[in-house]
Amino acid sequence: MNKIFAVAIGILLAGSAALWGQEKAREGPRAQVQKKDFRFIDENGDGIADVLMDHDGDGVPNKQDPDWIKAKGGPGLQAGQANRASFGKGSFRGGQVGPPGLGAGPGLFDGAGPKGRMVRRGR
Amino acid sequence: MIRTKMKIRTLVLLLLSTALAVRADSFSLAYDHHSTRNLFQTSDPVSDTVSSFGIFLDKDKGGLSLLADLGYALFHENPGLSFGTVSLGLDHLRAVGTRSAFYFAAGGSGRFFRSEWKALDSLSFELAAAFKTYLAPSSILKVQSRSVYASYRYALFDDLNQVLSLSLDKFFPSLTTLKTEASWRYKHFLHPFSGPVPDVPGIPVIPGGPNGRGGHGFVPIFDPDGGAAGIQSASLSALAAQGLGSRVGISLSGLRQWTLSGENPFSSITEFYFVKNPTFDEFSWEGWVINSLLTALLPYDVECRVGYTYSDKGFPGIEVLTAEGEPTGVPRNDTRSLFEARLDKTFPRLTVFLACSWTDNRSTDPLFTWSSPAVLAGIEWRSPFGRKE
Repeated sequence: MNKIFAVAIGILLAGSAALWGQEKAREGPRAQVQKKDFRFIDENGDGIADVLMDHDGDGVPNKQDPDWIKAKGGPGLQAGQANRASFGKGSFRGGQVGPPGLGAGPGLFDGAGPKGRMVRRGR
Repeated sequence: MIRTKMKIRTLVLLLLSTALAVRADSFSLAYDHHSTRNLFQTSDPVSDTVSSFGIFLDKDKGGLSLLADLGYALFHENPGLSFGTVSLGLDHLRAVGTRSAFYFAAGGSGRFFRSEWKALDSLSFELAAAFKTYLAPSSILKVQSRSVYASYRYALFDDLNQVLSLSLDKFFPSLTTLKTEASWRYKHFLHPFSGPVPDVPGIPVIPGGPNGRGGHGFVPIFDPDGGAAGIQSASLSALAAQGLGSRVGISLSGLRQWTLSGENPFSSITEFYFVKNPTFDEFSWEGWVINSLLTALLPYDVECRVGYTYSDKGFPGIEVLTAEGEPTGVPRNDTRSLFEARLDKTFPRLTVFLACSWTDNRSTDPLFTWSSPAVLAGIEWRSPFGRKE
């Protein structure tokens, strides 16, 4: 198992290194999005504006969003699309499966991996 | 030899998925490590650690997304419980004007245990649909439907279930959020609960139960009149959240669930740590749950969440059993306190997290009175392949 883990880490590092240059080249335009009027939307009900966790407003939290590259200077409110109606698929995927109700399920400790990461990718 | 074959299979899957990822819009790998002192969540604790691996792909084409998920959970102390999962799905989003959208999804998934719990091997197929509309710029109405057909190796668990929900969210400039949701759910067991108990090898039991009670966990109750069994429930829930500045939020939510008809067609039910169990799910209980949560966005992209959940659940049709497994006529009722904390640190392509919990479960059935800590740590890497512009 250790060998498999080592191979996996190797693949990750190689992939990251090979594509680092491409990623840096793409960062420019995304970092230039403009700060817009702020409207409070909190679809996951944690008390924190979704714009702080989902900068491009596609419903997928930044940390899980392949679209998102962190803008230099911190999260702030540089969200390009976050103030328009959010219809990213992520905002639907997260609500389709899981414990009943709003925040009344296991939440923080719902594990990861085989127990159903796919449905947790969105809010 | 078996372990070597498993390693080779895992490696091949990993490499294959990596190759496929070149064509995917998003691709991620995850590794989580769990540690629990009570795997079977009974008064006779059994410790274990679990390593789980996951590979996730997402490919968009013409408004249609293909989602794929491969996973494997390795139980170190109880290797027979190790299982693999595979999921494949499609979803589509269709906007209606500027304020509304429909969402449709279809998918299938499989779960395959290594040896001991082969009876719980399952295939399931799911259809989901949702409609979301902004009633006002800060009000969201959402209607959702989910239908699932699940087929198990041990056919007594086969079921068809349906969940419908209606939710209304309202957000205020004061950083206040109010959410309400009403849900209806029905689970229909497809097997006619009649005739003799089938002699199916590999029926899972609760190992190590005290006083010889360990074997009763999955023995179904048969209705001599025949016919399928179903259980129907409804729930109402509400949530209030408040932002304290822009980086700290607190929320309080409550849920009440009623069983409208039917009951659990089993003599006993239980839940396990990390293992999905068809007898213990969102359909099996009635009662209430309250939850509080503190979320803080800390410097250096660290997210901290601390939560407490209290629940009081009854299980219709389930009675407290004697040490010999005979019903006592006393309904089973569980109350549970659950403390949780979680830290997530996000890098541009990497997330690492650490979570811990402590559960105190009190039950009218002494077998299910237990308390235990658990720890979970993990890492997820998201590839930069195919990033959408």
